[in-house]
Amino acid sequence: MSSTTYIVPFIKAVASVFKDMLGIVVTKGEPVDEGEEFGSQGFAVIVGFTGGWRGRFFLDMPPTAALRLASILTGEEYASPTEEEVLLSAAEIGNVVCGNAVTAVNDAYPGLNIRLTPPSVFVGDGFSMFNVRLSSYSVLMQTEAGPIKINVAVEEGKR
Amino acid sequence: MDVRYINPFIQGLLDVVAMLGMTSIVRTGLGKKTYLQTENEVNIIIGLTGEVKGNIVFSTPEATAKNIASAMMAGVPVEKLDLISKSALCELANMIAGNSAAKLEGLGVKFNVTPPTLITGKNLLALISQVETLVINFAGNEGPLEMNVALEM
Amino acid sequence: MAVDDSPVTRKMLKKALEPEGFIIVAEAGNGRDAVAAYAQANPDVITMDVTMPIMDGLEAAAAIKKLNPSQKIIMLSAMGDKDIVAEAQSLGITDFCTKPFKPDEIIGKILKVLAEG
Repeated sequence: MSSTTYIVPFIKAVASVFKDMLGIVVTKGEPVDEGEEFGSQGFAVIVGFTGGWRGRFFLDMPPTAALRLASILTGEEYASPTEEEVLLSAAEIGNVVCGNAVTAVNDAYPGLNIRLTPPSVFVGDGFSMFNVRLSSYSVLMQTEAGPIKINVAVEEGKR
Repeated sequence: MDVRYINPFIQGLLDVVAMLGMTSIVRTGLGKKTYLQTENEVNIIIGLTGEVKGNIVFSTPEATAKNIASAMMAGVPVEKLDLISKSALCELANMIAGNSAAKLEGLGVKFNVTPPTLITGKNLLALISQVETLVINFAGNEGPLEMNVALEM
Repeated sequence: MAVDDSPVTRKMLKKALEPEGFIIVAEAGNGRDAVAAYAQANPDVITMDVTMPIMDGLEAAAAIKKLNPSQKIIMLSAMGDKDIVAEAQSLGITDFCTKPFKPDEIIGKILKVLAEG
């Protein structure tokens, strides 16, 4: 399996979930080899997975985008990315994207049995993420809520 | 969160750091939080799936992280947190997770862990679960270290 | 009754269903609370998330079906892989809705399940 294969189901899931859940169209960029470390735009949703694929999914965006997404989900306005409903909305979006992506992969490859961790959300100034020994690919997507980067870091040597 | 399931994580950390020569580290406290809000610059997250599902975040200030990395690399001084020292810290998180998993398996509880991700930054706020986060504080000669455990079980 | 560990999802369900005349008689954030609230709530339909802490949706559904085999339950989940669907079916649950759900979709499924009598 080529390294970019891992990110493909997540790209598809983001496109369809953003459209169905948020009514947002995303324009997809090309996958870029991110290496072991990358910087966040300020707000990151992180979901881990185990089983046939071991690794982590990141949905990374500027805090303004997070505010926008939360508003679309709940119909309310938010002032700060650290407000509970903004964090919970982002976590839910991350959860649904990964659930959809992993369901598609599990169904396509019976026996892979990928399972997800609960989502976590990190907010801060200038933080970066380091995934030791995982190959990772990123895709930057443009949306009306702002630039959203997805990164999938998976342990090589499985499938 | 059942205390029976937390102790293996506490003991896992203590056993692993002792094995790495950091024998002064002890548990200093226990508390609960809704969010992980920290000024600690170094945070390592490991996810769990299976009979125990959740996230664990090891959190420590940069100075302590450098001391720990140094201790893991036979005392070689660490000036900057480069990729090698970050890898060492991730390895520590991995070992603690593995050690705790083995203990829990002894109690009949099975789970799988994700690879670790190390997040460095200032003034981080994190939501690591829909349930409460248990904060376990440790300290030793290297400095303070926190283990934030958010398990859904 | 709306059962989901994400308060945001429960809010979204409210937003979708209340304008159509549905009343959310009870909410729960995990399977154990759902089973505990069930008898009092006496819902016509339950939307049940699969992945939840303490007791997951499949276990809670099984427990509720034991109390009342004819209780209508719609499993709602972001994880809809074949293993999970198969397990739900073995409990006698035939209705599944994947997240993200469109309001029309969930309303349609609820109406269908209620019509089945």
